Amino acid sequence: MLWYKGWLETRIRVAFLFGFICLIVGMQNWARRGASGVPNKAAVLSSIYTLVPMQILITAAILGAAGIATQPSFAASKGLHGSTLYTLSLPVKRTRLVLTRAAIGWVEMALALTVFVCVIWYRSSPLRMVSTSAAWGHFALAVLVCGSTFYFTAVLLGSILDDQWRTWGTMMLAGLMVWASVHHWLPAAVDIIAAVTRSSPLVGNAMPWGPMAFSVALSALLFAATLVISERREY
Amino acid sequence: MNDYMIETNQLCKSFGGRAALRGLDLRVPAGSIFGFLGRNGAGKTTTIKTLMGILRCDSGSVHVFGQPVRDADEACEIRRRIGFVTEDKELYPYMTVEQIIRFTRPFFPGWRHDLEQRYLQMFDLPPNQKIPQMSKGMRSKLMLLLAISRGAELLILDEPTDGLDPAATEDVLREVAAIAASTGTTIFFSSHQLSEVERIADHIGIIDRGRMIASGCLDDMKARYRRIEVVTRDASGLPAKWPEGADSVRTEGRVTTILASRNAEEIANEARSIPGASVESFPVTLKDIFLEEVRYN
Amino acid sequence: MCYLTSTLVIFRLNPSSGVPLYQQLMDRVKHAVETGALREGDQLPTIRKLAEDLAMNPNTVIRAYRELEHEGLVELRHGSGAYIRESSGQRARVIREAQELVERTVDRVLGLGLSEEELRRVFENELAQAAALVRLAGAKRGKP
Repeated sequence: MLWYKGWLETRIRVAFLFGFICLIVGMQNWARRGASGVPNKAAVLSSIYTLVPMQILITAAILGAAGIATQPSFAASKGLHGSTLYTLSLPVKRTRLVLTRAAIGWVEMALALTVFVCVIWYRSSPLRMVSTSAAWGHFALAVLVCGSTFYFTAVLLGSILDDQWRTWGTMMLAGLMVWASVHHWLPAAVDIIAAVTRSSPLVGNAMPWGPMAFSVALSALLFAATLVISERREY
Repeated sequence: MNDYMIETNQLCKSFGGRAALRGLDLRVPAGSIFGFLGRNGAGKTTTIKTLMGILRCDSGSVHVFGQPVRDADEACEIRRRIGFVTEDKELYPYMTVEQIIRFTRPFFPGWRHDLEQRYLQMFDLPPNQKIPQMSKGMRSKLMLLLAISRGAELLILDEPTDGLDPAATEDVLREVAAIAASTGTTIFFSSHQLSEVERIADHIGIIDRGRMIASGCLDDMKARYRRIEVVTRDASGLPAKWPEGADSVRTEGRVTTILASRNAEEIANEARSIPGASVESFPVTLKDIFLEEVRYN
Repeated sequence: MCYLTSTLVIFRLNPSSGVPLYQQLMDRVKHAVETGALREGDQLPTIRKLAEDLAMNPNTVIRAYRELEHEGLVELRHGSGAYIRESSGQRARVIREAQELVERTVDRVLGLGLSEEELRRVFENELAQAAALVRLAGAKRGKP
């Protein structure tokens, strides 16, 4: 019943995310028009370039966890929330705990980001008319794959740090990457942020295979590290 | 075929530079109620985590149900047969009573629905009660329900009555006694409440600084241990060396107090042989045994 | 049956008194027989019930019942429980006789002006010496 636990644990966060998406995307002024009355595609795109990394960041930070020590330890007296010990006392191997929780979080992330892209598509009429459906589909895929790196970063941090620290840690690391990308410091092949903003399929580019492959490889590495750490860590 | 439910041999474990267990030998007979006593930081929690397969020790061996606990697979199988109550009684804050039961049930093929229902009623646990809103007493009872309903052969309880009011304490102890009487489940529990341990345990073990310093059948120990008070005219008549078993000897003025862990008769006779001495022998409570053994160590 | 449980639940056994718990339980049963609260043929609570009601180790109850059987006060019927033996009434009578003897002696010694504590010590010393003498006699008899 680990799926049941994972769902109970994350359902509020998922609800929050959906609310967040609707609020943030809804609040954007998508219907900006230029002096000539023509919808301002550039302004819309720049909104998207800001929103996408932020959305990925927040989604990953909130949903990622390693499934073992999942409660904040601030309230506990001995550094680890007691429920961690309860989880560990169950006849389940740690690998399975980590896997299940990571899978649940990833599925939820995929859902959240897909909905996110759909909402943008729906609200940003100027873009809808210009980019093809295929481009939107590719864009969604790129967001999912590139977002995974941040997700698995959160998962890895979740195996080392406790709840609050994991969230902030993920945001900081991701924020660093976004910063580097915005300043063009990263080579194009590994710039996963650019892959979903300025170099994304949405603006007519091809699928960013390089960054996507990089993201997959990095995700796998991060997850492998998570498994090893969870196995070895002494609770 | 030995009939120890739990057996450890020379268990050693260090964290960083600090040694938590230094050659622990623990033997818990099957079907017994075993009280595990020790000061804070003596190594009780480390021992319990090792028994559950949550911690791997540096050296030594652990056998539970006669099976060794070496790798993750073995540890997992062992945990399927153990009911556990944690020290701080914390559970998942996002669940209710019903939800955590529903979550825990599928892990244990031998789950006893009858016990689950019985304890839900007896402990008065409302199924929709959210866990964070429960008092510590209620959470302790919930954990006990979760542990017992597994149909486990071994219950490991870390401070089961810690922080509970007297009524809740009584409820918990009654259920422990009832379970032991009706199913023969072995119960291994750690506690600081020595008077409760005296009531309910038939075997005890005292751990201090990572080692077992006294253990065995409680009735036997209480029969063996005596406090012998010798009042003499002066200090001159006292023997230089008392017989074996005189664990601690304290002289204040004319009164010498001896804690004997064995050979009490011999020691008392030695004392009676001092001219002009008056000798009295008293039984000793578990608290006295504990304090003396820990200090003597 | 209810009497024994309820009296023990209210007037608890004292684990720290130095007298082993099974001994205390035995003494309570004996006392109940002496006063007539438990009569010949009455059934004692089941081991499980007593252990649960008193929150004590079931092995302690088992031991007490076995010792009582050994002493002839109680009969353990397989599958049915523990019952007060028919002959227990005699023991009660003997004990009542001893009680009267002791009562007279105590009155006289107290008349000497001893305090309760002093009196108790004198008695315990006597008991200890008597027990030691019995053991000594037994040991001597054991020698060839």
